[in-house]
Parts: sequence; C-alpha cells; structure tokens
Amino acid sequence: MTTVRIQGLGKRYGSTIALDDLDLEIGVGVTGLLGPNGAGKTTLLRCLATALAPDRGRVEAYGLDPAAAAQRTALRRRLGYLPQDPGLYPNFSAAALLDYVAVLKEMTDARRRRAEVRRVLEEVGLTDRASVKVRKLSGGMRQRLGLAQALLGEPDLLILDEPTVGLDPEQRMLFRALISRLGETRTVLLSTHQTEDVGALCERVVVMRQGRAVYDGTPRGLAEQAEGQVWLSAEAPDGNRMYWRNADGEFRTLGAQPPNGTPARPSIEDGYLMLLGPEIAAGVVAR
Amino acid sequence: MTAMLSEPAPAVTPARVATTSLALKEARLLLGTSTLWLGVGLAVALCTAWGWTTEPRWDTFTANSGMASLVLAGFLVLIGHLAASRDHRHGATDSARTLPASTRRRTVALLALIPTAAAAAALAVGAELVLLMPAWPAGAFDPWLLTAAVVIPMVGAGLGVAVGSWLPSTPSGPLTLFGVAAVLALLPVLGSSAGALSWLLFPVVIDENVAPEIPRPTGWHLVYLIALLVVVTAVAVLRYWRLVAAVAVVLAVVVAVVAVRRQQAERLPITPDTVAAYLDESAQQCEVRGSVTYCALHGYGRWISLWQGAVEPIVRALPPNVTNLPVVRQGSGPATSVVVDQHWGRHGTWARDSRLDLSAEYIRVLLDMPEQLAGKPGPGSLPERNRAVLPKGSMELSTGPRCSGAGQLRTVMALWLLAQSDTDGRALLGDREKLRFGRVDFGQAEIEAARRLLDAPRGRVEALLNEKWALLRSPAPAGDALAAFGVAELPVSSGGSACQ
Repeated sequence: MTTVRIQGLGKRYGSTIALDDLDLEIGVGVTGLLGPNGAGKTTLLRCLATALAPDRGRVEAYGLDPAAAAQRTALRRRLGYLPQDPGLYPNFSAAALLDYVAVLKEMTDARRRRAEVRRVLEEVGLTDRASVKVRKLSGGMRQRLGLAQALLGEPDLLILDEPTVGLDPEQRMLFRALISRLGETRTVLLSTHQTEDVGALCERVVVMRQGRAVYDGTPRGLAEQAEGQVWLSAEAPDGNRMYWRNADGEFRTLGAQPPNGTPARPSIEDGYLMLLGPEIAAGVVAR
Repeated sequence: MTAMLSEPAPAVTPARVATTSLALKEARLLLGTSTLWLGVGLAVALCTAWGWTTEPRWDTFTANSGMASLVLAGFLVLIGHLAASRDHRHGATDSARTLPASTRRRTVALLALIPTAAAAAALAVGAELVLLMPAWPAGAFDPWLLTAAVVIPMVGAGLGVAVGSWLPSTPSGPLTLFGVAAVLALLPVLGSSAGALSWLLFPVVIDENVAPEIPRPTGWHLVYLIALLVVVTAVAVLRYWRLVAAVAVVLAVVVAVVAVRRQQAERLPITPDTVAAYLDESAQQCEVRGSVTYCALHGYGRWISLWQGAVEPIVRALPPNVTNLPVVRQGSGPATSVVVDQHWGRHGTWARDSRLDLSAEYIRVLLDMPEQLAGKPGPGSLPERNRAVLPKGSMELSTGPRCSGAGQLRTVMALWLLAQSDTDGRALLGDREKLRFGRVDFGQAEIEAARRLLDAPRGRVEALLNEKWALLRSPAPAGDALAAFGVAELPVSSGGSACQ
C-alpha cells in the first residue's frame, strides 16, 4: 500500500535542476535512495520532510498534502527526519536535547516524554551518554543522537539522509537492525552512498541521476543491471574499461570482457555503476 | 497508481497546551543557563559593592539595584538572542522546520523568557536586600522604583528575543548589546540635570531623592519602562501578528512619550525654596535620647542610633548643668541645631568618618565656633546643606574665609571632646585630616594641649569644663587656664584673622 506519492516534482536552484519532474510511490518498508552527489536525493528528502517547498508537482504522504499549511503540520506530527547535518545544540546534554525536541513534537506530558527519551536513547545505544553534552560526543554518537531525535514519537514516516555516515561497523550493524525492525510497520526512506546498506536493509532501491529516478526496483534487480558485464582477471585490462583491483589481487572489470576475464557475480555496486552510465565509468577510468 | 494509505491521524495536542509546554521548557532552559546566574550574581555583587560604603537608603538602593539590573538586562539580551537564534547557529534550521512546533509557536514560547527574567531579577533584588542586613534602607520606600529594577531585565530579555527572531546571525546579539550600551552611555552626556529629557529616557532613576516626602513621578517612569517592554515584545511577534503587533508598537510608543512628558511636567523643580518645606522642622520627627533631641526625616528613624553614637560620648563629658544642648536635625533647622544630611558611612572607616564628622559638627555648634558656610545667617539653617539641593551648576556650597582659633581655650577643649568620641582619642589627635571644626584653623600647640588633657584624669578635665563652661563658648584665649595640666600659655593669633 502506498504511503507516499510524489507526482511531477520539480525543484531548481538557479539554473541547476535538482528535481526534474519526478514521479515516485513509496510504501511501508525501507526504501533506499542511491545516486551521485547532486543527483537530487537530499532535495527530494527535504521536500518530503516539509523542509523545502517544491517549485512544481505534488507530494502526498499518508493522505496529507504539505502544500496546505494545516496538512503540513499534520504531516510533521507523523514524520521523523534526520538531515545530513542534524544541527544538534552543542550545549545541551543528549537527554536534554531529546527532551526539547520531544516538546517541539508536542509531547506535553512530562512523564511520557521522559519515558520516550529513555526509549530512543536505548534504541540508539546512548543510554550511558544521556547526561553528556552534545559537544563532547563523538561524530558517530552525534549521528546516533540525530537518529534518536528522528525516532521520537514513533513517527509513521522516517526520512533519513545519509544516516550511516560516521558510524563504525558495530554501530552500523545496530543501526541496520533498528531500521529493519522499524521498516516492518513504517515507511522508511533513506539516502546513502553505501550500497552495502542498501543491500542489507532495503526492500526497494531508487537510483537518482540529475533529478530523475533512473532505477526503481529491488536491490537484486539493481545488481542484475550489471549481469554479464562484470569480470575478474589476473591482469589489468586495457582500453576504455572501468576496473579496480580487489582484495584478492584480481582485477574486477565492468563492461566488455577483458582478455582472460572470467565472469563474476554482479553486486549492487556493479549494477549502480553500470546504471549511471558512461560518464561515471569514464571518471573511474580517468582516475 | 496504487491506493494511498491514509491512516487516521494521531490525537492532536491542543495548540495552547503545546505552546504552554514549550514556554515552560524555554523557561526551564533559561533557569538552567549558567550565564543567567552569572548575570544575577554580578548584579547582586555590583549593587552590594556600590552601596557598601554608605548606610542604605531607598533612593540609592533602588538606583544601585536598577543599575545592577541594567547589567543583568545586558546578559539577558545575549541569552534571549542566543535562544531565539538557536537553530540558525547550529544548522538546525532544517530539522527544526520539520517539527510540528511552528516558528510562531516557538517565538511565542520564547516570550516565557520575559517573566522568567522578572523572576531572576526579583531574586537578585531580594538577595541585594538580604545582603544589606542587619541594616535596612532608610527614607521613603518607592514601590515603582523597586519594580523598575525587575522590569529592566524583562526588557532586556524581550529585546534579545526580538533581535534573535529578526536577526539570527551570531554577531547580532553582541552588536545590539553594544549599541544599546552606547546609547545609554550617551544619554547622560546629552543632558546632565535630573529633569533633562535624556535622563528621563534612561531606564534607571539615579538622581538622589532630595527629601523623602518630595513627590517624584516614578510611577510614570515605570509606565515608560512597561511601554518599552511592550515595544520589544510586539517587535518579536511582528512577523506573525503584523497588524496587532504594529498597533501595539504604535500605542506603546505613544504611551512612552506621554509617560516621559508627564514626568517632565510633574517633576518638582529642585531649588532651595521649593524643597524647604520638605526638609524643615515640620517634616521631621523628633525623639529625645538621653538629654539630646534628634529629629529625623520620614523613614530615617533608625539612623538616630547612629547619630547618638557620635553625640553621646561628647554629651557624657559635659558638665551636668549644661542645658540647651544642640538638637540634631536631618534636613534643615535653626541656627542652634546640628544639621545632618541623608548620607551616613557604613562599615569601617566610612562609618567612623561620618561619626567623627557629626561629632566635630556637634562640638562646633555646642561651642559656638564659626561654621564652614559663608554669608549665611547661621549654622545649619540651610536646605542647601542637603547635597541634592545645591544650586544648579555648583558642586558645593561656598565656604567662608578661614579664621584662627589658635590660643583659644574652646579650640583645645573641642579637640579634647572630639577625642572622647573615638575609641583611640590619642591617635585621632594625630590625624590632622579628621580635626576640623568649621572654618577654624589651629596649630600643633592646641593639639599638644589637648593631648595633655587626655593624659590627665578625666574627672579633672570635666571639672575644668564645668568651671570654664561660659568661657568655652567664646573666643577667649586659654591664658593660664590649662597651666594645671602642664600647658604653657598658648600663642594667640593677632589681628582680624582670629575666630570670633
């Protein structure tokens, strides 16, 4: 069942097109947004989170249209948003910050609010840092605190912009467990550059380029975009091919079969790179 | 196209409840700000320091407390600005914008800083009063002026929120504070008399109260401050209620102008003639302690004990048959009275200096020595003696020509009497700065003679006082009256310079 519908969404920053007539429908579960820098992922998330008004088109979430002031506020009551820069007040303690955000989320009952703060701190593994000032938290802890503020009030729609930045492998594993659990009942939309996160978390992935969705399907389907175009070889291929040396010392090539190349199983990253076309491939080759 | 899931919306918190909850949160955040308590502590410390050297009076206390509140208001300008610009400073604009609490609600909630500032200011004023203990301000209590000390920090908090709402960049707060401080510092430069417009625009009434019962339009000053508070509050919410806030600003400015005009109109011109009735005997309440009458202005009854401490040691040394002792009067009085003003030192040397000044003045009147002032009918009769009634432009009253009390018996006895009023009379006689009786000059010979008297048994000196009392109240030379104490005849000043 669709919970978020985007129709003909457009947004420009001067002469730069951030979103170009984008259509998308999202339902309950975890949806990943992949795309190079400047593809329009953050702009899309900001429009969905009601932080930014689109130039044209329509967004609808849970039957609410953020273009209408009353519905926008109603939608804000049902969403949790973790922006790229969560903007946490450095002089607040972690618990005080969450308590403040909880008040801004209209949790007026102090006892319930305290319980909710304890809950989200536990969810992100920051219970023992509750009284530590934000400025004294590490980057990963701040990212988790940002996630905690998004989780306050158990929102129906969770919008996370690069949530795994700064997380160590253990924290990332905890994060994946948390998000996948939330995705069972809620709509979670996250943007990331980590294709592993997409593979591990998302039932659905949308790849964006130049403000448009160039792929919308399953992570497996994204990997299949590179089917028959991934090769392993002992020697570096020549010609205009995209390749890199993997941990086993073999050369992994995308595109035409190199001499002595044996076919390899494509990954999500392979599919993503193939999908983004020759300009990215050329960039990799140039490096 | 698939069907859109449209679940029922969760229960919505009523806007008023949500705003109140946020306002309470903002108030608690302010109360948890160490900068606020630093400001409160500094305000209390400054007020206490400024009033440390003098016995407290309501007019000086409210002026000191008001100035200290101005310092606290400065802190609140910064705190209010930081609170209102919180999101902009930390890049939280995006996440804050996506929360159900609108910027309007957040700004309205920030107005909770204003009553919280009032509570902090009231606490500071209370602490300033407690720190006066065991003393307590004398004079006329003016509730409007005390309230002003609470309202000024409210204006500061409101100004901080208003500036933070419109100009959230970090430098705006300090720059606003600097600008306001510069304007306030300029006001006294633009006009220094108590009734000047620039002084009336100054948030604190710092001119001295000439007499406790003189009517002062301080209520209008409070109205002016409240109008300022309305202006800054309305500016803070102008973005959300344009018409109402704009009307409120206009009305408040009109009220402020009217309040200042009323102050100008109702302020009594301070001249010796206009204030005489508020300082003369009809305005004083008298009380007899021992054999001396003390008359205090309204609210100064507690100071009688202080005056008594200066006068009593002298009276105790006088012959029992001496009657018609000078009356100690606060304000103004007839020539035979000793006039004190509304200043009295507190703590250590400041208290001692006030006590010695009164002792010396009491001795001067008692022994009919010429007073300090020139060309006036008699000692202690002038309302101008109250420093706040000095004629416009003059820093102090003119003094008459000095005269010589050298060789006069009363000069020696005055010095001995003064030595009685201090715990270490001998040391006092070594401090020329403290030995002053009106316009009377004297030399080391008279001081040495007084020392000889101090060395003698007190009973012998008191007997001399008894015997020579009539002579003591005249400029008669000592002659051989002190020979029994080992004092040779003192050289007398010749010519017209001798004191009469």
